[in-house]
Amino acid sequence: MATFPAIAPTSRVYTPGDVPRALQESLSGLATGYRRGNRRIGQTLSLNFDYLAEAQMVQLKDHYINSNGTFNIFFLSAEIWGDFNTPPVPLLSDFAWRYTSEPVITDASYNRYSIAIELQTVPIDTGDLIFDGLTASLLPEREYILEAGGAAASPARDYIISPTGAV
Amino acid sequence: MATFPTLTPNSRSFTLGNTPQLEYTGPSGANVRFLFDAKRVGQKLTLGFESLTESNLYLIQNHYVAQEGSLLPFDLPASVWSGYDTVPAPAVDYDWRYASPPQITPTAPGRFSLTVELQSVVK
Repeated sequence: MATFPAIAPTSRVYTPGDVPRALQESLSGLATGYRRGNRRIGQTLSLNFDYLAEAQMVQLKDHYINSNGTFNIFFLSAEIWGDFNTPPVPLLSDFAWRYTSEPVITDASYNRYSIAIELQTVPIDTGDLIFDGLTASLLPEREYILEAGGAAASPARDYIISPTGAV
Repeated sequence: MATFPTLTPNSRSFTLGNTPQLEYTGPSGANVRFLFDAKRVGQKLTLGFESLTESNLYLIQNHYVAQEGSLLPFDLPASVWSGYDTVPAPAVDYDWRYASPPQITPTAPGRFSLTVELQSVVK
């Protein structure tokens, strides 16, 4: 799993999403809401990269291909959030990202390319990640460990966050 | 297999397509995804040709007719990818077919503009 390429976008639109909920509305207009989860869903990030050289365009294209399109999740690099002091979604957190739709590559001028990319968050949980890993066992394999503590060195993880005493 | 006419487009837009997959989403927003293959489907290529002569226009129109519209797949020549060092959809993995009928617009006496929409076919 590869972090998104460290290329600063030309424009960026972030939508904070909403909590999963069901709303039931009566004929009188009274409504009752039911929350279905406590993690925001539908956070989206639209990125435009204008006038990229082919090498940078290929980095973005290859990242999409290596992510199996919209299938795999990944984290963003700091360059994506540009001038934010505190990114609205922390770089390494319990929210990962995946592609919402296919990137569109447009020829901007000779040997220059523009790419439009749409991303959405994925609330990652124990299938992908261990919180407070401490003395977590080898199996099942996880790709992410938060607060790894004394977790075993193998299998190798792609990301260990706050490793503490992990070997 | 036929090859698209060797003409260089004036504009080009390429959409990367997606891997074939199924997604199931629960009420909380948690989801499970199943991946079926690594080759992308639904890649689209939109080509714009400006101020073509009539003979060049007929190269494309006749090619469209020969491919029986959107039915038969074909290869793309290098001229279509002019400017790329590395073709983003390699010919070894993908053929192409017409996604829709070409749009022909007269722009000046004896000159025509044409927009072609193609979609990839996995080999």
